[in-house]
Parts: sequence; C-alpha cells; structure tokens
Amino acid sequence: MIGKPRSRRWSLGSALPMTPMIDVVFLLLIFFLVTSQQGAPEGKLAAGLELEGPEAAPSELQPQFVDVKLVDGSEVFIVGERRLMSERALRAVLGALPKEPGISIRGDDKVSVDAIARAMQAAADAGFVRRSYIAGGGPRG
Amino acid sequence: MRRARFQRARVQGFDLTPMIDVVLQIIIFFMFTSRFGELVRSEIDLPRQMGDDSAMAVEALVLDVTAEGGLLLEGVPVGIGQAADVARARIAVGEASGVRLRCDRAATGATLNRVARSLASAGVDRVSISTSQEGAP
Repeated sequence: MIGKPRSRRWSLGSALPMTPMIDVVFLLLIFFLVTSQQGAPEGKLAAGLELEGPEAAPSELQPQFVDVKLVDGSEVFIVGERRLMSERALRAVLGALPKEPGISIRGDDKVSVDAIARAMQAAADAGFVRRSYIAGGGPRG
Repeated sequence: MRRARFQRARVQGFDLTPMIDVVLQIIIFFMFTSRFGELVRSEIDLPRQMGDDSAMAVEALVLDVTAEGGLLLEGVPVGIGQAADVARARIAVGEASGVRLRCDRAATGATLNRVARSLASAGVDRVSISTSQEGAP
C-alpha cells in the first residue's frame, strides 16, 4: 500500500457536503428577512436656525417672512399682507418672490408641526435654497 | 429498470449552485439595505411631505419629538437642555453637523419652538425636519 494514495471519502467535485452551509445560509436569510425594516422612506426639510430679536444675526438683505399662525381656528400662512389658506397658494406667492434674500419661516406656538412643515415644503418647492426657521410666539426660554 | 436508474442519477446530480447563488444574492441585498440604526427610533407620525433633495446629507444628530411634546434621543427621553448640550458636544467634536428633528405631525409649534430656541442658543445653526414621503401630496 506504500505509495498508493489514500482514498478520500469526499472528493471535491462530486460530493462536498453542502448541508451545513445551506443551513447557515438559510439562517442568515431568515435573520435578515425578520430584522430588516421596510419603513416608509423619509425625506428631510433643511433650514437654518435663527433667533428672533436683538440676538438675531444682522443681514444686509431685506428678510422675507412666512408666518404660520392660527386664525379663527384655521392654520394660515401669512406673507406680508396676504393670508393664504393652502400650501398651493403659498407656493404660488413664494414663486414670485426673489430667491436671493432667502426666506424665514416663523411658526406660532399654537399651530401644528404639520403646518410648519407644509410651509417649509412650499418654500423648498418654490426654489428657495436659503431657508431658515425662527421660533415665533410664546414666552422665551 | 433503465428508467429507475436514470431517475436516481438525476437525483444524485441535483445542481444546488443556482439556488445557492440566488440565496447569497438575497442575503447580500438584505445586508446592504437593512438599517439597524433606525430600529432604536421611536414610531412617529411624521409630516407627510416629499422633503428637499438638497437637504442636509451629512451626519446629523437625530432627535425625536413626540405628539405630547416629549423628546427622545436614541430612544431615551431627555430634557431640552440636555438635548441641546449633547448636540453642541457632538457638533464640537465633528460627530454631527446639525440636528435632524423627527417631529410628530400632531406636535404643537410650541414644542418645536422651545427646541429651536434651545438649539439656537447652544450654537446649533442647522436643523432639518424629517418628513414621511409615504402619503405626501
């Protein structure tokens, strides 16, 4: 028997035991299937933060404001003298404004975050790159 | 008899390679797409808006704001002052460049304003508000 190669139980090409590997692979697959989260995709509305009042940073450009307020139980967007009820109307008004000075959105304490987000979305859709949020209303601190 | 031998040969020679290929592809897909970091975030009904593509793409500290006005930092309730201190510290060491607020759409502006004032006072000048693109107009 000297010099004769020992017969191997498993030859590489034909009968490599696949069962353990398949077990592990299926366990991994089940793990990822169970743990992966298929949540709704999230978007972001970016804004600079500004302080109102004497602490505010001086600006060379005339600021443009969108006030989000509660008037007669309804959330309204106020741009200058105009009171707008819908996001579409706000977008149309903002679309006509110059974009260089940027826009500041000032949310009142009584409105919902949803209304503030709608104003920010309208500003983004209207093409304002420089957007800032100013905490409005209510006592400080 | 010939037929039985033929069937046995077919069973023995069953090729597992395509199945293993597919299963491994699926595993790799899930490895890349699963987001373990978001598992610690609380369930929040975000404002339904599309958001802005040019929004903060860099690392941001995520702060959850519940409908009742509570704040959660990585799932742990925190006070406004504490959240602002953590934000200032993380920005100072370069771990974050801003704060991402995951506000419940039913939360009041009063809560958002208190958080905004606190963050601005702490020197944080960039925030973004998370939105849910599902159901956005």
